[in-house]
Amino acid sequence: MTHASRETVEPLSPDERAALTLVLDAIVPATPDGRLAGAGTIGVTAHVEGVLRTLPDLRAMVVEGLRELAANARRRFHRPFTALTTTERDALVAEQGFVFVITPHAYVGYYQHERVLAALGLEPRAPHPRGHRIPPSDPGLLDPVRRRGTRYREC
Amino acid sequence: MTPFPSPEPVDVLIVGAGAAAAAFAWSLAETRMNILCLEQGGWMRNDDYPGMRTDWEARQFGDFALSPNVRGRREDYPINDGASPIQVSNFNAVGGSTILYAAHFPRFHPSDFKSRTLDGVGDDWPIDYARLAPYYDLNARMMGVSGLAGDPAYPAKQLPLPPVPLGKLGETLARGFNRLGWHWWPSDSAIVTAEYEGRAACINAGTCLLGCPQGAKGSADVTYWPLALRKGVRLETHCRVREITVDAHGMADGVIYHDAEGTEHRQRAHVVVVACNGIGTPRLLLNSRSRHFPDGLANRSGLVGKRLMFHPYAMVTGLFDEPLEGHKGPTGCCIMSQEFYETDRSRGFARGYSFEILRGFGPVSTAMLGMTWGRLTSGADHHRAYAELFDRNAGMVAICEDLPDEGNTVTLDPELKDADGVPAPRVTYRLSENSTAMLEHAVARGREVLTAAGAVDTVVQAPLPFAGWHLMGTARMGDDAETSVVNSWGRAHDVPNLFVIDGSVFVTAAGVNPTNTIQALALHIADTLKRNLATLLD
Repeated sequence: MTHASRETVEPLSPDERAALTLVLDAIVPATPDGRLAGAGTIGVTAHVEGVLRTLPDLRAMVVEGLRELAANARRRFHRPFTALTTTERDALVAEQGFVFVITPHAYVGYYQHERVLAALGLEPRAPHPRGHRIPPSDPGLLDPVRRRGTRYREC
Repeated sequence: MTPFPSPEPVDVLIVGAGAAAAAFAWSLAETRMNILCLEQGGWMRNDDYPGMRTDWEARQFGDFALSPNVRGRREDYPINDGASPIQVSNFNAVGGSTILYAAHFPRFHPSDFKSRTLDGVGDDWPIDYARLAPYYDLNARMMGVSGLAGDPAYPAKQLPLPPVPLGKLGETLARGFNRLGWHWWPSDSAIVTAEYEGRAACINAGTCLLGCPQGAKGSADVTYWPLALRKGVRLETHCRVREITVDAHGMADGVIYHDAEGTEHRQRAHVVVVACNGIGTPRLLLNSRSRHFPDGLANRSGLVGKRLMFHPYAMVTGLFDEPLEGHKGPTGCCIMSQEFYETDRSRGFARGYSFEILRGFGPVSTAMLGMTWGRLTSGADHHRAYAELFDRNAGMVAICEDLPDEGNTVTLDPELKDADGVPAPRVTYRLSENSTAMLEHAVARGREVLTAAGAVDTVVQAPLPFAGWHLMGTARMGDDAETSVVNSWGRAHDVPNLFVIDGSVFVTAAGVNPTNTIQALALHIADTLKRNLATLLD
């Protein structure tokens, strides 16, 4: 694979992808009860990679950030980033500026994932064409408003 | 059908195919004149809309963003709005910005046409509420407006369809207004709540701001335009008008436009009608310089592009400790309060505002807003914080009346251009002291009513930066050619065969969404033009 084709088809190397997955799990971790996996584990990495494919400047920032993350892991913990404990990873991720830039993309990917929607009590489907049913309201709610009378100026 | 572009002049050439153009073209079509409309965008298809896909919410940050600068479609033109605390929102397609609007469809109040006489601010319009009332009624039938008769904030009005449902969220807020003894009423909405004129009923999907695949929302492409085309109006898409040309006598005689490939063409016309709204219209007029009009077409008053009015918005969101089912229902239409609409000088400002209760926010929007508000963190606490936000928020906006100010302008940017090399608009705008005081009042009252409704906390954004939906005043109407651009029926004082029919002609902004009034004005202008046809070019 040429460098050019990797940039257009595969924005991250396998190692970078593995590290990004752990970063995403640090941004949105698994729920405490284990009901939902973290953002990386659930598959948001592919969504973020899709974004990086269209935004070369962001991709460059993320690749550089992952490189710094790896260097910091070796310097501080003497192990690769992917071999750290969750606590150690979280501490490093919290210091990385690129994480703040990819956080909105992580949220977008996570909160449109069908398993997350189901966990929120929503049907994992597009809003159309089924929509939602809303029961009718009590028309008596308006009685106090009617009693107060006209609210506009005649002119 | 005659070729396009036609070597012969058309009778009437309309620039832009949005809300005003659609109503105007439909009305004028009964004259059997040769009417041509040029639109820089294309037709939207139902299956193009994000609401048909599970990733629908994310599209608001990309190809369905409110800002043309973010959206960046070929048919969009960039807008330099860096010198404004409020950024411009619009859409370029057949139907214009009604494609993405909320379809909240209130009328102006009678007092809105007389702010100078009644309150000593702004200016009086050359027409009044009584003049527009029959056109509001007609427009309600044509657009398919849902609502409830008897609103004490308005004179009697006709609405053809029952109101949108309140839902649990709307009922919760309504009880809050009742506890304080404040006015509220179900919103007038250009959303059909039952099958109507071939349009399917709203299914409460909550995707209105990204287009309506159901066709229940009254965007102008599904209401007026099909009828206008059936009556013989011709609409050509992907035609971006760069300039209106004038003849040796200073009369408009046609336009120069670019097609989808950027190729330049000319189309002659006997009458030119501009319908590009409060930013696009002054941009086009200012780009149409000639020996007769060195400062821009129809600009001898110097007022083209001046007196730009937005509606400064305050958004106050209530956080509740129970689910509100807020993702169900039309996004921007629920209930409205006009408790603080009419002037009361004891409040510290002139004029007033409406409260509009929105629905709640979807899962993605909740996360993004939660981050913006500083209420959603990443890491171990994320899920707890998110659970406090999702389906427990009720959005509410105050739409504040903006007063006209000649310092708020649309000019031509010296460097920025669109894809065809046409100079782009630059917006210069500042909030007035009156607007600032009104926003502060609205935020305080918004917090009060949300608390009365049971909110445990509130979050405020004021002014709302992305809320430049309503674009008004940049080619105002009036009786005096020295102090206005067009007369009371949209005819340019300086160019008798040039008309402006969109939000640019507004004299004041009122404190409600403007689309209903834009269309009522367009219908009024079309009717008046029809009555004056025999002598129009004398």
